[in-house]
Formats: sequence, structure tokens, C-alpha cells
Amino acid sequence: MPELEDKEILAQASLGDQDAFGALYERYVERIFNYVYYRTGNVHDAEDLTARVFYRALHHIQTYTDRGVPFSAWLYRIAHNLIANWHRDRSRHLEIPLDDAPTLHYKGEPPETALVLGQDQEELLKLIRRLPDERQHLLILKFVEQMSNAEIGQIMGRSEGAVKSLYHRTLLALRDDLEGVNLEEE
Amino acid sequence: MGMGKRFTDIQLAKVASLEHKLSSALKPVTPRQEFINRLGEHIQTNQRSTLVNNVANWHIIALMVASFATLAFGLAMIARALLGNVQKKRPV
Repeated sequence: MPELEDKEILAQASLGDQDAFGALYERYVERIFNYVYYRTGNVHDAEDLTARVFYRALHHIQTYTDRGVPFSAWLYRIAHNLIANWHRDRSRHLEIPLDDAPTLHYKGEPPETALVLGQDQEELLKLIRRLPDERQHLLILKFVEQMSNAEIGQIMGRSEGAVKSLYHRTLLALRDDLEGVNLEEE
Repeated sequence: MGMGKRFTDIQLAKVASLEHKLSSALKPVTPRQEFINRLGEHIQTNQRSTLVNNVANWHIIALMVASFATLAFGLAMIARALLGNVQKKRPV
């Protein structure tokens, strides 16, 4: 259903149309996976949580109400709640590193080119994951999804100006955090 | 004045450098195709079972309504017959 708008597909999906929900899944699965992957930092949990997001969406699609925001905002909200639970559970349990984590690759690159991060990038991603949720969300939408401030505003329920301001504050906070890390290393 | 401008320039350069670092660290990744396909199939199966459950629930509700209506109709008929008998037996 590539030519149909989200609203039309949603209307069909809420009536129990299997193909319609399948179309929504195909349209959004990569975006949700990317969001969860950058929020959690590991592939296993990203796959598990992405699956849960879509199961939950499937069970609640009939009660979905259009509030004039993009459908993806609803999916991101589900993902956000599941990630919050995941963080809470993880803080209670001992974390065991997995050696057999599946490898990923950047979009547009051949599958055999495994994603390898440099030490600086690892450090930066760790700092990003320490930021408040909404700031992480903003950075993921801006850099991973390449969205404009207006589009981000629609998803986050903020004005374009508020997004711009939040982005600026986030950069400054991140810059200070990076400087702090560099000073510690020296 | 010159010092202040240089300080601002340094800050701006730092922010620009940070944006560059962010764009190389936060790039879209492709999930495993095997995962996408497997999850897609699970969702289809799950959706079918949800649909079957919903239909089954409707069947049960329809059956209950029909049973209740039959019972009510039966009771009404018995009551009417009894009432008829009582009226017949009553001396004129």
C-alpha cells in the first residue's frame, strides 16, 4: 500500500485489516528499531523492544485516536515507555555482556560491512544515552531520521522554536559533558 | 571586544565540531533482514489469532443473547398458560 496515506491505512488497520497493519509495520519498523537501538546501545535489546512495540501497537490499534499528530509519534511513545521500563529493570538486574550479538551495518552500506565504532564515537554515544529522554529523542530524530525542526516538533508535541531552543541547549550540555570527559582523561 | 568575539568564535567552532561528530556517530542502521521478516510473520500470525478470538467472543455473546431471549420467551409462555388456567377455573 505505498500510495496510501497513514490515515487511510490506519482506518483499515483499526478495522482488523491484516494487510493494513502489515503495511504500517513495514513503513515504521526500521525507524523504531533505530530509535530503540540508539537508546539502548545493543542489538539484542533493540530487536526485543522493537518487537514489543509492534505487538503492543497491534493490540491497541483499535483504540488509536487521531489527535492530528503523525502516527509515528504514537509508536515512539510506546517505544519510549518500554525503554523506560527496560532501564528500570536493567538497573535491578546484573548485566551480562553477550558475545554473540548480531552485527549491524549502516543504511546504504553493504551487509558485509559491519558497523565498527571508534572510541570517540562510543564515548559520544555513551554521553548521549546519559542525556534526558527528550534530548536523546531529539538528537535521534535530527541526525538518524534527518528530520527538520518542524517535523520533530510534530512528533514531540512542541513548537518549531521550542525544538530549536532545546537542540541548542542539548548541544551546549553535550559539549560541556565532552569537555568534562576530556579533562578527566588529561 | 576582540577577545569576546574570539571567545564566541571558539564556542561556535566547538558546537560545529560537535555537530559533525554527532552526524558521524548517529547514522541510520539497517536491522537484520532475518529479524524484520520473522517479526513480520509473527505479527501476521498474532493478528490472525486476535481476530479469531474476537470472532469467538462475538459468537459467545450472540449465543448468550439468543439463550436469554429463548428463556424469557419460554417463561412468558408458561406464565401466560398458567394465567389462562387460573382465569378458566375462577367461578363466574
